[in-house]
Amino acid sequence: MNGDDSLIEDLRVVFSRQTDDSTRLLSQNEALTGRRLAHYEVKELLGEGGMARVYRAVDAETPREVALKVLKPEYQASPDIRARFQQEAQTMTRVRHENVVGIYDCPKDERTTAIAMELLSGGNLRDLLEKGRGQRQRFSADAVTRFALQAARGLGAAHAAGIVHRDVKPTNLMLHADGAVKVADFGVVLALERATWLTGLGRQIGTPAYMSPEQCRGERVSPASDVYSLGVTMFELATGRPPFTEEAGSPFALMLKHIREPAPDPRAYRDNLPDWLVWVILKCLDKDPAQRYADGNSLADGIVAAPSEPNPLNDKTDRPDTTCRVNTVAIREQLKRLPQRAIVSWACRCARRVQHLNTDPRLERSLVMAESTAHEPAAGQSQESLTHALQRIQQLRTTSFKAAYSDRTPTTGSATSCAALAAAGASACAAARCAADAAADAAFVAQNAVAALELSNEPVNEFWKWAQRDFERLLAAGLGAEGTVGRPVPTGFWAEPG
Amino acid sequence: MDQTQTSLLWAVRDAGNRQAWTDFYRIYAPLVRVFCRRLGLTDADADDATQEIMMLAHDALCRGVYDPRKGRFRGWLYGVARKRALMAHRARRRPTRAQAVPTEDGLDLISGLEDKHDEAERRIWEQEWRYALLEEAMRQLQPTLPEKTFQAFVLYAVEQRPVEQVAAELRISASSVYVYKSRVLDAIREWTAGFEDDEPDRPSARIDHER
Repeated sequence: MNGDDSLIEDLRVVFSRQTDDSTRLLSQNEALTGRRLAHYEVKELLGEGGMARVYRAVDAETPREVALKVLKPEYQASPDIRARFQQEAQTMTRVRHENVVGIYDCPKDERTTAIAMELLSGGNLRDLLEKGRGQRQRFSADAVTRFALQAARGLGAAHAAGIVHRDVKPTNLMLHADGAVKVADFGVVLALERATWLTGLGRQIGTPAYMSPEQCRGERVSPASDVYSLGVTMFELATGRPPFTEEAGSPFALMLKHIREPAPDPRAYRDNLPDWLVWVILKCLDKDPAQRYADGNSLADGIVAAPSEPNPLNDKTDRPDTTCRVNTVAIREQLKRLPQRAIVSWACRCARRVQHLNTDPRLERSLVMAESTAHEPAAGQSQESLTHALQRIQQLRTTSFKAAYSDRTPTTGSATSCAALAAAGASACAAARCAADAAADAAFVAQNAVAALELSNEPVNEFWKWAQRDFERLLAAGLGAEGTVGRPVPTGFWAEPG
Repeated sequence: MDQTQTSLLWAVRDAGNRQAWTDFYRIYAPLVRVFCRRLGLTDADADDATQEIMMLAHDALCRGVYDPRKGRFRGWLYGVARKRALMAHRARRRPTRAQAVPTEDGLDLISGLEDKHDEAERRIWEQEWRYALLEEAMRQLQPTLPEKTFQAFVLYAVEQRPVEQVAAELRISASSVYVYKSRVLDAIREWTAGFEDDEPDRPSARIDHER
């Protein structure tokens, strides 16, 4: 057999496999357009996700237009997946809610399994986000609330029927022509998730940006997982970016962030958000499912009731002009003039000033660790011990956050929580990778320190003058160029002058 | 796609490059899956194994677990896939008749998997790699070739239809059919050549840095 013959022989195998579903995962040009599936005439391809394609089709029996979601051939090949796809779709036909995309039926023939559903023409929230980004516009807090409330109600209806979505994200929140939000892709993804989540990385799911920590760990999910994903979506709608992004290197690193890193304060990216909305979002983003809203309906109730909920950042019962004076964006910008070690040092000082309001010993450990990174000479630490130290700081930070959110007793708990959040922010500073991140965390510390003092009726102005003086001292000390880690802050630097 | 194996492996490391991951997945996932099937895993087990192996591969590339100094990526992936198939087999312990599918090569590979002599598996792997590469080559080349050239090639070379019939059907001369056939074969050879050498040629320091 010469070279040509053996090459052609191999090509024959390849071509023959293309018509044999059992050996291939992916196929090409499997368009259904122009065909008929049961009583649906398939008109055009509307879009394509990781697992299915969506066509516009006309129901010949009741001449209405529908969206026909068709499982891709690579998944049609598995009878198991096909059966589950149908079973889930059948389950979803039970959920009738104005904020859930309606499912009509599940047409199929010997090769193709599909779901006929409500055809929506308004695009989805991802489209809106992109459009807003293009025009440098962000949603108003009202709009975020309206979208979130409807999505939460839709999810709530499904949760009540025992169904968890598992893939809540802006792309799956569709818009009706009248502006109503409808949750799509229920149950479908659920049936396929086990087999295909990785496929999704490069495709429909695109990024695990919306996955809950328990999903990232591969654990059992609950309605609270959907609440987390909706929280991520709310964060993005409010700030224009999700709380965690992929910049650390891989989707798996991003999943680790969901598991380990506390969610940032949305105000680090947009400072004019109402405190209660921030609080609702952060509650959705709690690492512990038990600390989130239990399901979509609880979240909807929470959104409606939110302004009156006990809120560590917004307990203004008898002090109307308190927490909002700290302009975190301005502080952040100012702090960026310092190298990272100096920022850490400043943040730790701020946290120390309110530490007496929360005597949890874990916070002391968190601060000691954070302070050590400001003072230790870089040369004295091996890469390994530094990594180890940062890991410990991250754990402590999580602990601090837990300390903050575990104490929700109205009024008395608020100052305590803010103090814990300040300590958490300080350790976040130390663990940050660059001065800009550290500056954002330090601004968060300042904000919480101010809130903690105000809630305890302690003088805020004095603290603030003192913090500014610290900033000036660090700047004058010239510990390194802008944006760098900088030189260690000398021991004894903070000793008050004689 | 003006891409070689080397550039694809490097592009996959860039987490923002989703297209690279899609390309990578499209080529390697079917290879891994078919390999697992041919080693006797059931459809469901092969699916699970493929997902896991691809996840490991992604992680290995992004985090530098795979060390190009120790050999080709394809060889590394083979080792991982074989090991994972063995694990699936162990998990099953005593497979039922239905699960222990006899392979088309007539080998009882599953029970022989623990054997250190993995020549038969390696042969299957290399064969499947070739098929995966050719499938991708056809996918990439088809849109770049004139329609008649491609049709003539498929009808004549792959489907083995008589040259006169192909010429008549496409309204071209018989000599054109021969020319088109060798043109497509040349294009396929040239395309696959870029994928045969799959060792990233960048300095390994870069990988350490990314770790």
